[in-house]
Amino acid sequence: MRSTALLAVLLLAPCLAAGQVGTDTPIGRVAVFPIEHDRIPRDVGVILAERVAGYVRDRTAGVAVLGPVGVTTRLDAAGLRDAWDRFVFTLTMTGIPDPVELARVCDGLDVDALLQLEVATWIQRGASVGRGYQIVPALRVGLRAWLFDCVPPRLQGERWSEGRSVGAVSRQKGLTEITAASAAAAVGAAVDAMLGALPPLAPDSQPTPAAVPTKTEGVDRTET
Amino acid sequence: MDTVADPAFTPDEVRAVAVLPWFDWDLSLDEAREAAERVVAALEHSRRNLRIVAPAAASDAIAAAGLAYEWGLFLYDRREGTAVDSTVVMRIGDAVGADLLAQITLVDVFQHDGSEELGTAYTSVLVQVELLDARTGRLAWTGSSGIDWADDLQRAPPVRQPMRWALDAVLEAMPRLGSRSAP
Repeated sequence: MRSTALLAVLLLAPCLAAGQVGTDTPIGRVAVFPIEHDRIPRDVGVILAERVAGYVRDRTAGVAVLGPVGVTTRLDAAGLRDAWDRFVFTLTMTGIPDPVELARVCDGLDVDALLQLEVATWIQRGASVGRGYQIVPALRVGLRAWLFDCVPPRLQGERWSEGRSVGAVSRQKGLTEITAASAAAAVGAAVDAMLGALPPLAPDSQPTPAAVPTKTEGVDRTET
Repeated sequence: MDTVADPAFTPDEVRAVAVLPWFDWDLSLDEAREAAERVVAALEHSRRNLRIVAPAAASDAIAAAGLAYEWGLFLYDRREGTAVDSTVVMRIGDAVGADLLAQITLVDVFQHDGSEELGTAYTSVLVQVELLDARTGRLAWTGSSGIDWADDLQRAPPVRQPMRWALDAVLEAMPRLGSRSAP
């Protein structure tokens, strides 16, 4: 039940007083899946998920973290890509986390917990130019982190964060638009906010440096 | 508020109804769960001799029967307007021990962030509740309600609040299920 312990720490620590978090509990091996969305480049999704994997790796001594590249490689090598896709499809169509498919993926990856981040909401504001004003487009994305236990196979819970960015100005066209870069920036800001929402997992862990807000801004929205 | 009922549907003959779990990208798991519980609560006030299978129990039964993926395919095919395998409804009815399945769907969501120049931010939702007859695999009743909500100039309101209002409107219109007589 090591994964249960880890995920319980992830989820419940904000609700507990300092010192009550079970940081001395042996924790297991965690797989962090790449972030996939049709509006952000695949490589960017891997890099952003690696940021999460690195965070968990750095902050939690003794936890083996399988990052997004390793997850992809192992899924393909074990022929489990279809099983994972079926699992996510079923969950997002029905709300039912299929324990059989989840267990297959867990076994194939040889982990006891999964962390999956999904871009859940995408709210885009259009540009507008009028007499005496110009509104640049803006993008607000909601990021959902799912935490899965492998033993027993189940959805342990979720966390939410939000990120924002503004679009680029195209002087030639006289228009502004949300580019792939600004989309990636918004998702990146949401990832940073998600990191900030995760509690320390070990007594000697250090807080993550706050993301520097430039054109983006991250906001945590923790569900209770 | 729109409702459609199968003329052959007889609410009085329903003995057990299962409220199925559901998911929507715009809602957290807790928000979706809370909506399903509202359906359960509405059914509990419906009639006295109606057995209700709660979403968590239905989820476990469907997963244990190995029908979760098929149910996902059914919902997907129906959303896409392609041919559906209605026997899945019947098999799920058997798995959960109910002769009617209640399914919530957030058919449409639109959120608009505003500004002084672009106007008020708003969120639009269209909520649908369907009652599927597990004895025939057919749609017995469906109700849908849409709400546009604006209460902030710049930031589109969260989906959960208009979703609750729209859902409550559908539940008020839902037929009373179960026998009129006491058990």
